[in-house]
Amino acid sequence: MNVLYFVIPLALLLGLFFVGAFLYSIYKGQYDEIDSHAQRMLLNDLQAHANDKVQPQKENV
Amino acid sequence: MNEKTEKLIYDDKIIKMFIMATLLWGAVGMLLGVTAAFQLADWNLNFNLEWLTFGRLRPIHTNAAIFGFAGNGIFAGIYHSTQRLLKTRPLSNALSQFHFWGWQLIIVAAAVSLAAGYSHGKEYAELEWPIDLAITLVWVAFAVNFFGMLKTRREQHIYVAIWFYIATIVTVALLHIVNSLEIPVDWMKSYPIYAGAQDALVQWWYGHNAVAFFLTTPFLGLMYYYVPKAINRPVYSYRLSIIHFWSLVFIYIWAGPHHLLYTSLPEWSQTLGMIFSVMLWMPSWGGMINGLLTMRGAWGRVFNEPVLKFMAAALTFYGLSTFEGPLLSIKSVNHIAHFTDWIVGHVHSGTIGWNYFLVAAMLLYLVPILYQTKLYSQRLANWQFWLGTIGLLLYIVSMWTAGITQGLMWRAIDESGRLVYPHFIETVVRIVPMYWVRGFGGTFVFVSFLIMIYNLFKTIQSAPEQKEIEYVVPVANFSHKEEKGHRKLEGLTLVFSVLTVLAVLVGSAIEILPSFLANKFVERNDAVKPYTALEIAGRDIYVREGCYVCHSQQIRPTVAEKLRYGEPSTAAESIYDRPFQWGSRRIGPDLARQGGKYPDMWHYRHMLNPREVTQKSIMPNYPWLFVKETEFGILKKKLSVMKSLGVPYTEAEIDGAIASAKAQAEQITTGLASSGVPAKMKDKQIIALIAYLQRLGKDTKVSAELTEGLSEKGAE
Repeated sequence: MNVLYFVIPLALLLGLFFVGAFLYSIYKGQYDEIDSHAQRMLLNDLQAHANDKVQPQKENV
Repeated sequence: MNEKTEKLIYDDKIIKMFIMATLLWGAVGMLLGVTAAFQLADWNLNFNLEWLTFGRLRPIHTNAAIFGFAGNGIFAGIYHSTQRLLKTRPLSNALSQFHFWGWQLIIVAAAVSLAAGYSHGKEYAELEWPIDLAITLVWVAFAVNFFGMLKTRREQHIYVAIWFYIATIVTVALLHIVNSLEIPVDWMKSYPIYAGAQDALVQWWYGHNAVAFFLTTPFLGLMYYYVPKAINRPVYSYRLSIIHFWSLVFIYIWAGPHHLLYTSLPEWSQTLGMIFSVMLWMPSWGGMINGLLTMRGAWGRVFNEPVLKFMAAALTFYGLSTFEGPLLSIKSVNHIAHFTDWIVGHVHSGTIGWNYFLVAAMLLYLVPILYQTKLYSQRLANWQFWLGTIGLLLYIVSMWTAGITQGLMWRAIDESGRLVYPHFIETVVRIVPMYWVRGFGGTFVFVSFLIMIYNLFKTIQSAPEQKEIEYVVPVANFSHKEEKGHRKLEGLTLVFSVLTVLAVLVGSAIEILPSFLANKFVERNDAVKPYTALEIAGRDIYVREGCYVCHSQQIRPTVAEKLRYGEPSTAAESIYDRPFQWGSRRIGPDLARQGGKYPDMWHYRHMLNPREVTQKSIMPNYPWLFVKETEFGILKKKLSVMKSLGVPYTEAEIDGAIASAKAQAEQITTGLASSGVPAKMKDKQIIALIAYLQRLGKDTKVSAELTEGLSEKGAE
């Protein structure tokens, strides 16, 4: 079952990558404040030309 | 809000292209699925056509559904949500186009090559090496395009959906490359560098994580974007979503061996796979609960809005299948369920209930927005929802029934210690009615998909003239926080460093792995000898026809299996199997000890018309094996590739491969002559296939008889 000696380090390497990404995200302040992000993603971008009367958000109602 | 703003036009064209491809491949994949389902109910639907038999059609169905439908759906959603979340455009239009057309070309090549019999014989990784290379290339293009968006983002915070996409892109690249390490024989044939149990382990490490990182994490990302958007409420708990993400990616990668419980894999790795699978339940349900609770207070709208209906159903089915998965990973449950239709039902509650329904919700929400119009018909969308849901329930319930029925029949032993149903076919005939129910359930799902296509098509038709909309977005203002200049190194650098690691890994793996894997095998059995040249030819036909789709080659260490098939399989027995053919479903009996069980003539007649030897068999006929000639010319090359991978062929054996194969074929054909088989049949593929089938399990059977004989003599 020698392939385990290959696959397990590989899985650990991947895990290590995720640990790195996790630490990175913490130190970059991604989680310093986590209340606003869930709200902010709901905001739609403002259209540059207000006279383009396109209001796509309402079609579900 | 930021003070400074700038104008931005999102790339909506690429999203629209991927949506069209999603609809096309979804319809194709489901049509093939329905066809394959009815082929099991009535074998006549195989039409005696080689490219239409179940063994070849089923891989086309899975590839079209997973990589065609789900893949394009993911890409559409990722290109849409990532642009909006990061307020930027994909790195390059050319890369987007390359990604789109490259991916479609891969799906077409997959369908054509699988139909033509070019198969790698490993589930969800059937595609031959040139297509494997193309997948790698296109995936890298996608990665560069995606990480380019991270680099040029105008939003500092990386919303949780994006994290799910990152995990998807990195992990799929790793899984695909490692599982596809293979040595070409010619331009459409290759052998994996892993053999037998090692190949099985790598394959299911890939297979399970393909489910995890192709059908789960990207869809969770889509869920975290589209569910809050459609309801217009923030996700129930952003904190939970963060915990959900990180716990999921750490646990998923270890669960693969639950596909190999009771096989000849080491016990500890099976137990490890089982434990991590049970642990997966928690993060999975964390995600489901987070999604469903986002809908709290909006349940009234679920009744009126099909988009929300689909989302609620998708999350519910996600919860169902992520509960069922850990349950099936528990060894005692797996004992009944493995190799049965329960697994097939489980998979479809995920792929239809979770993947299709979530894509449906996304498309019904997204297409009107993208085309600046309203959905053509809410009524049709409701019809789609109910047809799809009823169809899926019919599918799941029929497969539960079929799976548990057959699983219990296989292991039923009477008081005298004999099998209650010694003939495998009895257990098949019993579940054929369930195959009809499943077929109709699948048809409902397919029709529901067609309704969606019509609905969306009409929606697009009603769209006003398409104008590009300029949006006002904030100028990135967070760079001052990173004065050290790390910003420039992010994004693209990340993708290149990951790819460099992968490239180095592949290079060294190709160099080192074959000898490393072949020579230090823990449990050797000297009785197990490499296949003869003709048997290799026969084995490649077995792989080509997708026999592994219905027949396993792995006897589990249980009383019932020992009675039915013989001694449990050992890892040593498959050390020359490239690829391994342990299988995952027994629609027909296990073949690990098939060699010598029946005479050659039985196989000859069986392949011509299975019902001649087994009444009520649902196996297709294989008339073309009696017309097409065995490719003797390539055998020398095949054997030398095998030798380079560590199979102990001598130079003489390789040089004489063609002659020895012809001699063995002649010998078999001479044996069949008394039953009226003409001598000219010796060059046909059926003879090579018989040679292979008669070899299965023969080595250990002979050695077992020998040791038994010796010990009896010793006792005298």
